[in-house]
Amino acid sequence: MEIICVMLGGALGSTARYLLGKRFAARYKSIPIGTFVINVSGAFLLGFVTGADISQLLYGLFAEGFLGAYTTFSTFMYEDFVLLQNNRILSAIIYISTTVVLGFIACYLGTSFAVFIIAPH
Amino acid sequence: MKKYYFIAAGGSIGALLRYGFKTSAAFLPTTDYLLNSSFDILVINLFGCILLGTLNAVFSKTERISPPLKLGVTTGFVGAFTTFSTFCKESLDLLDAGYISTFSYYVAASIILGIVAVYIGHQIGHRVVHPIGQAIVSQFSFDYN
Repeated sequence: MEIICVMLGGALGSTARYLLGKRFAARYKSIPIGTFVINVSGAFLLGFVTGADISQLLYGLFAEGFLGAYTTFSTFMYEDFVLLQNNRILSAIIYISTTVVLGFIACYLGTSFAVFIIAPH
Repeated sequence: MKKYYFIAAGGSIGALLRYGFKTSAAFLPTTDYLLNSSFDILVINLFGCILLGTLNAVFSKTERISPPLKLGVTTGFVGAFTTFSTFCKESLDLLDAGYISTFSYYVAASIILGIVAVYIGHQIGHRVVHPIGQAIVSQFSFDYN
């Protein structure tokens, strides 16, 4: 059952990434802003799901499946490789550092936010 | 419309493989679950980077593979197999558990080796896979275009 949840989440997550990435790519041609938005928002949501303390099955669907597939590391690295190949070294460094630092902060904020909502006031 | 089926199919297989690998593989000589799962994510991400480098190099040179299939394999399968969100979570968990230096090595290794992995994959695609594919195609097909 958990396998089906992960696969369903994976199918939806990768399709969502494609649709969102395409929308951004049409607007911004030289900066890979789509993958940036996808990865940082996905990190926030994973932090939220982790902090929300949901059942294992739902965690498989949302975290392992959907968010795991929605965010991507390989495309992120490939885009850096292309920037470096085009001698846009500064852009590559900025792209890497903002994605990673904001990804960590987003993930942390997501968890804090979930804990804040769930905690009895 | 066809491309969405390919992306969804690739994505579900990629996510399943990542999940199966993460829950079963343990490479490190430690029973620490956090260290093992972080290392699994590193291996998954680096392997995915090599694969994406290779595939993009080969796909950019051939018209024989249909665009929906290309998207399904790269955006769908490899994109879903590798993950950024879990990388962030594992990194924060390392920091939270007090593995400060491991956290630094983990983040640095993921990024530096990730770009190196794409480069290696790119070279493999251009120098090995594409020539072999061309040789095979020219052996078996009737048109040489």
